[in-house]
Amino acid sequence: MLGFPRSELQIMEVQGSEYLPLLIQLVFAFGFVAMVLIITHLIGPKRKSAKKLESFECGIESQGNARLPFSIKYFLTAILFVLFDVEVIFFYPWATNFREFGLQGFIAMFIFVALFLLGFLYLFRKKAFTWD
Amino acid sequence: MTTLVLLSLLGFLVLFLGAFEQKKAILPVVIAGLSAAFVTNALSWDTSQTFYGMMRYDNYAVSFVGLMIFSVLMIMLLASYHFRNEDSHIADIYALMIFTLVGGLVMVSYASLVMLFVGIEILSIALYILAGSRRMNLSSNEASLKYFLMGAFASGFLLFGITLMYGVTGSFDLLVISDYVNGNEELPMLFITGVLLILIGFSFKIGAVPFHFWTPDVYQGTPTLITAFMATVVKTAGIAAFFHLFDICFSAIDGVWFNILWVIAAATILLGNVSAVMQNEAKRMLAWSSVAHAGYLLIPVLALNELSASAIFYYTAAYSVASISAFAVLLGISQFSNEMPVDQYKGLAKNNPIMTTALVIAMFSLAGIPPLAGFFGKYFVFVTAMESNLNIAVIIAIAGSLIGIYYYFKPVIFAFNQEVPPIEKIKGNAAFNFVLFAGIIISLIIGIFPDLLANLPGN
Repeated sequence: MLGFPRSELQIMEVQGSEYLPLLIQLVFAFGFVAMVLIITHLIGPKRKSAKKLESFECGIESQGNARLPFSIKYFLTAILFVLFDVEVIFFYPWATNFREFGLQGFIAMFIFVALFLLGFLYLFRKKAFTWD
Repeated sequence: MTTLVLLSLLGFLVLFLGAFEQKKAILPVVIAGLSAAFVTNALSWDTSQTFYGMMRYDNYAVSFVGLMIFSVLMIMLLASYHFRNEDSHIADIYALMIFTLVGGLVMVSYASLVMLFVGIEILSIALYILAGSRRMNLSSNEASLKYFLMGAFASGFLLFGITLMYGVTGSFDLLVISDYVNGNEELPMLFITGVLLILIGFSFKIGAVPFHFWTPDVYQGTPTLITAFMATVVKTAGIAAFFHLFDICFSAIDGVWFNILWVIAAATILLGNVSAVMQNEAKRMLAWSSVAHAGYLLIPVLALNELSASAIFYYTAAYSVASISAFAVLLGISQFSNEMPVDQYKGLAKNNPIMTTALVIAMFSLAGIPPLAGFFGKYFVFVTAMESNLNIAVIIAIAGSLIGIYYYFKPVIFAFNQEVPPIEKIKGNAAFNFVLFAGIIISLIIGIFPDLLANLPGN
């Protein structure tokens, strides 16, 4: 039994007409995007030159290809950053409801952080932070 | 639930044993942990419990989890033989296998579609890595990528189906969905679409025709040990989850899915067997044979009566035992080479009596020769099908098994070939020989006394 308001959903009968507003919104969304794209294309000035069509136009001529092989270290750093950064997101809702959760919430978060600490320890032992 | 916690902790423990370089301790800890999990699982027998409406650990779950733990235990013993010269990353591979088992456990005990999806993902994500665990091997990498892309695609189908189901019924709970199905005369189109999308998702996961294209390549490229794992534990979890959902929720609306599943099952049996005949690679042949077995396993799902659960359980048990033996012999013969032509079996019999016996028993069991376990597996499947008047499906399945005899006998005939110089004695360690012995004895025992396992999950 999930915490969703199932009663409300059950009242809403599932019929085709219920989805008409959704369809209208969809048409509007796509229509707006298409319209804006077409209009800018029509009224915008067109100046095409070799420099203008380069990938990066920040004044300096670009050198070589963007698809370079790069050190796996940076990849690892990025992955680890994402992992430990996402963890923090869970703290915000927890912190705002800290009083209501009480001791049980504290213990739950403690276990959560402990698991991350274990992961950190594992990475450390696997020499994921030894970058030479 | 104790089993779930125990297995998860075991996975972590193994990871840390590996990280702290306690190589000697890993295998004993794994074996002890899995045995403990097997015992706690057996103790849950007849104590059907529901956890927050998310998991229901009843006898159905207990039987299938017991079977999966047993298979993993056998494969771990084989792993100790296979990885005897290797010392890096073993702990990670063991840990990933245990995490896969955790996913399988969730997949056979879910009471909510959310848990079904979580279980499938726990199982699959660990498997994607395992498939690519031979990192310097090109075909292993290819297998991993293919499996990942196909698996992600299949998960998408499944998830879409689950979403539609939630949209219509307002709940993920299997019992609520079942009430909705039984309480409404006419179901909205969205619901039917959801059922079919879930059907497609599951067919992908168990490798049923026409969603089988990934199977041969992935099974062949994956390291042999992991292939054995995929062919047994993963297939068991997949088909058990498939049946669980259709049994509880969709039995009243078989008009929607019956014909589609019938065609899928028939096509899987025929195409799997016919393609297996044409293979020259032993591993690829076993891969196609596993496709064919997925087809046989779909027949009890199709029949969906009170015998189905037992038939599926017995069949997966017989199939898992025989497959592990077959892969063990293959592992022994090919050692670390990637090339595994069927000719490799030639001249095996003279110096390797135990391996040959294991090979013969495994192949005969897979082909369905009495009195081995595989025969009664097929027998129970056919009886279940006849109960629901699926006579044509049974005829197709029997035709499939007849074709199967050809390619299952090929390695056996090659093994007794005397024209080539005989293979020298292959030295296996104690664990390897134990797996071979266990395969021979269990195939015989549950074949001669099928009652031991026949009525487990239904009660």
